[in-house]
Amino acid sequence: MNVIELSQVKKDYPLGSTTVNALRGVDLTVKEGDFISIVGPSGSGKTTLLNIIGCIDHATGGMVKIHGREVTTMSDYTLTLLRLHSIGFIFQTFNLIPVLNVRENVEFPLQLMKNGKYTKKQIKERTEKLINEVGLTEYIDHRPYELSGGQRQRVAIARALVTNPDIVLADEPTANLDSETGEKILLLMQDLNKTEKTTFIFSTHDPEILKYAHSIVKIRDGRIAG
Amino acid sequence: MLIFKIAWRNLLRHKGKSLVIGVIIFLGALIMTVGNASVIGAQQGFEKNFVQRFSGDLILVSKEEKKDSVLFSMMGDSIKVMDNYTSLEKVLKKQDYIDDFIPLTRGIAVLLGLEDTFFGVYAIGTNLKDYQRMFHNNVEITEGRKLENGERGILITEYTRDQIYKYTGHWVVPKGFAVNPEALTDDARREYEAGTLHIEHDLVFIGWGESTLNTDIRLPITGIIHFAVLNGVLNEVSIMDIESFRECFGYFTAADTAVKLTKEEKTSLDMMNDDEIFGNQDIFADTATTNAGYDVKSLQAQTEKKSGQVNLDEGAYNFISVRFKSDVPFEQGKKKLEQALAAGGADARIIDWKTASGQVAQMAGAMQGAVGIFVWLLFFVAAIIISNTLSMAALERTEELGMMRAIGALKGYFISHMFILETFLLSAVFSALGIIAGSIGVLALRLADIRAGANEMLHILFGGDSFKPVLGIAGTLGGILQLAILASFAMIYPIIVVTRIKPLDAINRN
Repeated sequence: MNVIELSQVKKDYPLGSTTVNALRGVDLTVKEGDFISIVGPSGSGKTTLLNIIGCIDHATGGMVKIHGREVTTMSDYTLTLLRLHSIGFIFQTFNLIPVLNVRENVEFPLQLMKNGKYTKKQIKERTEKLINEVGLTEYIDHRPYELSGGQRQRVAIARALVTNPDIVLADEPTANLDSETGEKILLLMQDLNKTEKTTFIFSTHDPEILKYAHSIVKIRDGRIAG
Repeated sequence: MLIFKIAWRNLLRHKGKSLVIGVIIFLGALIMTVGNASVIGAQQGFEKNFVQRFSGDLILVSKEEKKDSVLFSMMGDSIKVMDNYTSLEKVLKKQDYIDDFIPLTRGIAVLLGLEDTFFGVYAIGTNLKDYQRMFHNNVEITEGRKLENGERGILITEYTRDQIYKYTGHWVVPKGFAVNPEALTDDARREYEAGTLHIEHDLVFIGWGESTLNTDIRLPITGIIHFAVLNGVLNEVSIMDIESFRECFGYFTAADTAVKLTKEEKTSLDMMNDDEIFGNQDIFADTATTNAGYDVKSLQAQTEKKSGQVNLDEGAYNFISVRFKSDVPFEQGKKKLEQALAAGGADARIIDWKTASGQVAQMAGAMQGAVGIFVWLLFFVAAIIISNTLSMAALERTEELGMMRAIGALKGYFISHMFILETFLLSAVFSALGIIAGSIGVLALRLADIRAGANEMLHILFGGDSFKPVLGIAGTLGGILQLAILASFAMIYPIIVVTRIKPLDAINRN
């Protein structure tokens, strides 16, 4: 089943008097449970593509479908709820909420769900399960500034998965980590891909971590190169 | 709960900014508390002092009188005469909710015989003893002596004496008393020491107004006075004995009652001018004296003045000041009195003290209002500073807020609520501290007992002789409301800023 369908997606940025064509007609289909890496040099359009798939940026042309629903015409409110319920994000610089501890950061997306999808008990169990899976149980009450870079990224991964999303998008998740920690993070993502049946799409320009990807999408000058 | 946790911890995390905003809110709350207490204190003080010491709660005037601001007059215009005081007195005495009342006249008496300068003295015609009873001994004699019952004379205020000297070069000294060197102005002292000071113990007055029946009368200066309370407002109000006032202004005097006059003759004497006497056909049409005519001067000549043994209340008055008992609500007392007057068939119209005092009450209100506006202006400036600081703080948190938006926080719900809560917590804590500090400040100001001294403006601003800010529940609640408005106003722009932060902004910051 296709989770993501992109057809002739274009993205142009105005830059002074000129226009930068970040994406020049991208076609991409991602199936449920995929573990895909998007690779390409800096400025090739990897981040732009992930942002459009993650509904935090709008395409200037083409069609984007998540679970068969066209997202380019959705309101900001609908897109926000789509992100909350269906998409998990792992950022390059971790982007944890500095005033919350590990447990509170992980459960944050669940707390945003107003409709009482999860009970307090379920939130606690789900949060602790994921924190355990990323190996941070003993740091559960620590604030982000008390954690290493790798530990913060593990918290970000747990937070991305806590809502049980269909897709997890990770923009260069190992860029700010040493190679050993980066490898561990990729292994963790791979493991969660298997256990949680979640679709992972991550961007990287590090050839060393490509071996973990099930499939690779190469992008160059805003076009899919292979 | 989570939103509260994040908001509270964010305030602690950004201690510097929180403190800057907090201090501004604290100062705003403090200034507001003291400012509100000052305005309320001034309003209550002015009302209490003015009502208790000068005007009474209500003023009764003739139904013929069309003006409302009857207590003061910039141009010296007259008030219609009430010649029915004794019948009104009977009605008023029966009202158990009335604490006291007094009939009065007022007008501007022009000085004659002192150079060619026009100088008018604002005078109230009354019996001093009754006036002191009604207005709690507000008149204080600083030189000379008081006016005894039935005695002819005038009590001039210190300010009026200085003005008379300034405009005419004559220094007024109570009859039978020597010059008080300490009271002399600098110029008067120089003249006094040089032996060239013109000293007056008597002054000649003539009533200023529309009547052609005014008489010039020479009156001894009995004393120099000032007012115990609100002297800065009342310092031009001199006190003349009632009979002299009536003569001076051509009113029907009590002594005139010794002469048997017909109703038409009395009416003629109380007429304001020749046009009214000779122009009103009704007077002639309704009487049997159509062909007889009247020689007003002859009539006046017939009215022998008997200042000793007459009932002073028999003569003409301009108005009656009425004061309610302290436990009687104003509107209730006013309504009862209206009913009583109507039932008694009394010819009188009721004016409340604020309306009757016209520009004086308005000026006091305007000055006190100016203090209020000043406080609001400070608030406005504070709101701009707070708004700017909050906006800067919001922009510095773009990455955090953008990330929250990216993972599903709604801008119109979570983000804006979190920001409102942060500002609310900050406002609540520092406002409470500011109000407490302001309340202590108000108590300290009351204990300091700051006096207005001779400064007329301060008398109006303070609402009395001393600065007595009042801290009340209504004032405090009003202050909290003002702070809520301030905080709400200060939040508008920062909330616009935070809701404009997009998820992409968090990525771009990376």
